Amino acid sequence: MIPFAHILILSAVLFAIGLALVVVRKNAIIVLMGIELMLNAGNLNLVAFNQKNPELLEGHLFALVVMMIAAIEAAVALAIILKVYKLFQSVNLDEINEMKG
Amino acid sequence: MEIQSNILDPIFSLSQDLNYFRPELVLLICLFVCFFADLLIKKNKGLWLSSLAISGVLAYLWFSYTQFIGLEEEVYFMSDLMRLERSIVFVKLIFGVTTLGAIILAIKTKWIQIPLSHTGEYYFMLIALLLGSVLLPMANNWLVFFLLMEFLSITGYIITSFNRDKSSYEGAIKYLLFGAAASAIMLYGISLIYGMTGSMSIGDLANGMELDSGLLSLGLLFVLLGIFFKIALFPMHVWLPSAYQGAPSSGIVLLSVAPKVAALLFLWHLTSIIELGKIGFDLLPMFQWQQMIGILAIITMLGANAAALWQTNVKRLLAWSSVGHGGFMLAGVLTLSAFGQSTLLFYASVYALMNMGAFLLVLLIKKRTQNEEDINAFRGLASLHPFLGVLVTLLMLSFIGLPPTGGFMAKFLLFSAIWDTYQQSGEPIYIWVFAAGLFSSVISLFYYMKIPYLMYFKPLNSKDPKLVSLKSLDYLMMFLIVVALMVLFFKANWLMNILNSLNFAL
Repeated sequence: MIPFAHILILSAVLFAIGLALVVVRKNAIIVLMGIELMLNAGNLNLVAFNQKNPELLEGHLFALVVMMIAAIEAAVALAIILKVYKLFQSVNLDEINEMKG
Repeated sequence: MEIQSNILDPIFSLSQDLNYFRPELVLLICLFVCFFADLLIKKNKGLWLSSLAISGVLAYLWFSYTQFIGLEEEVYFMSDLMRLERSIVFVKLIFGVTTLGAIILAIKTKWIQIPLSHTGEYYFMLIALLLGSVLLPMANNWLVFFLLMEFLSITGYIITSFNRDKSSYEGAIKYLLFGAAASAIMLYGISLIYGMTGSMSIGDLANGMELDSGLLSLGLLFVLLGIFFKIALFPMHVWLPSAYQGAPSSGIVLLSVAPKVAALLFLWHLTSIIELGKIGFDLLPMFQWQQMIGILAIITMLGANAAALWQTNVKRLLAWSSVGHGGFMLAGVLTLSAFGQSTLLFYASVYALMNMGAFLLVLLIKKRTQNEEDINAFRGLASLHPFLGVLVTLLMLSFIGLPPTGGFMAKFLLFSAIWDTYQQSGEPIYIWVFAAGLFSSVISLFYYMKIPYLMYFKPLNSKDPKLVSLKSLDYLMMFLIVVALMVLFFKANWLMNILNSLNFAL
């Protein structure tokens, strides 16, 4: 079996990459991709921690629900990004900033 | 035969547990009725849809009221996935009344902002938001909690984009990207907490002090960030002004009250568990959670009220003020006493009322400025509508927290709860929160009073002779809201007696 610590480190790295994408990149689609990475890092943790209490399957169930939610969120997000592209002719987050203060 | 009854047991207990869900089931039915009515009805659609939505919410209010009377103490049900106590049922009533206000404002705005064909969808979203926010404080399981937070966020994104213009989509995308990132961070935190406690139940966190608390406190910190995003508190508030500026006013009436207060009540539950389990934040060794939340409340109150000073757009001004009020309510969470909870709920009820009045006002001036919502639209308005001038002045006094309004009583009670906690514990953080609250109330005087000042002391803009046409319904709503606020000042003990009877246990 793969040791616990390895999985934790992998998920931490995934989470960090996702967070870096969200913070650094300006393209809305890439930011969404970063968010998906962060969600999957959480999923990996949940599935790994399920080993502690395997008969309840709580972690596995949680991971399934998170996948469903991620799909819903992506659907709403892409719909809004499409509309934004239509109105602003861009998905660059620096340009979609007309309201300030 | 015995085996058979054992098989049926879970079904019996489920049907018993569903009794606790009566108000929510009514809402669910109302949700689908609105959805199908939107598809099927062709003639008089707006009238049908709004009366269906209003009657659904009224039925929900009735069932919540019976639940409020019937419920004695805290109960856990659905195999401990959910919990219910009287304070939660009380906020159900607040949310229901707020939704009624939002629906009435939506009826008033439909020909300005939302095409008639969309109203069914809009009611669907409003009621879905209500459903999510009444369920959220009941969560006693991380999975349920995460699901409901996402439910609230996603309905929030859709409501924000409902104006279907440039600023609306800009607000929605800011809200969405920020919210999605916040919920991803929260999920990672939940996974760490699950790993450390080995259980999805939130109550089991109280046993957490025996565990390796480094990762546990990191997880808790991440979860708190997610909750702070929902309440729009200091590090996670940046999305809010743009989202509120773009969103339809009737949506914000609900969006700025229901998810916030629901998340605050959940935060209350979580902090009382942290306190019970004596979980320290090992990453920041000098801090207990009181210090951390206290500092964030101070920054939120001062920062938001200072930022509101520069705003010229009324909606953006109200958005910043809503961040500030979130900070005040967070200060109420700090007390963690029965009296503190009563004052927090009092504050929430007053805030819901004031907000309704303020966004009704935004709708009124919106007609005048062609969707600009500029604060100069108030210039000289009092000479045209003297009675409106009086009502608006009273409303703004309530926002600042001056007598003779409910806003004064709300702040007075909240601050006295904080003062009590300070005297009991002697922790210096409480006195700082107290001082910051008073000081930011003084700051808020300057921007709230701008509106009555423009109404009374500036001449009417001669280039814009178009008068605001006030219907008697507008006056009536405004009048009722202001009268309710005055009643909460003169007869504050009516509400406080109810609130004090909510909880003896804490």
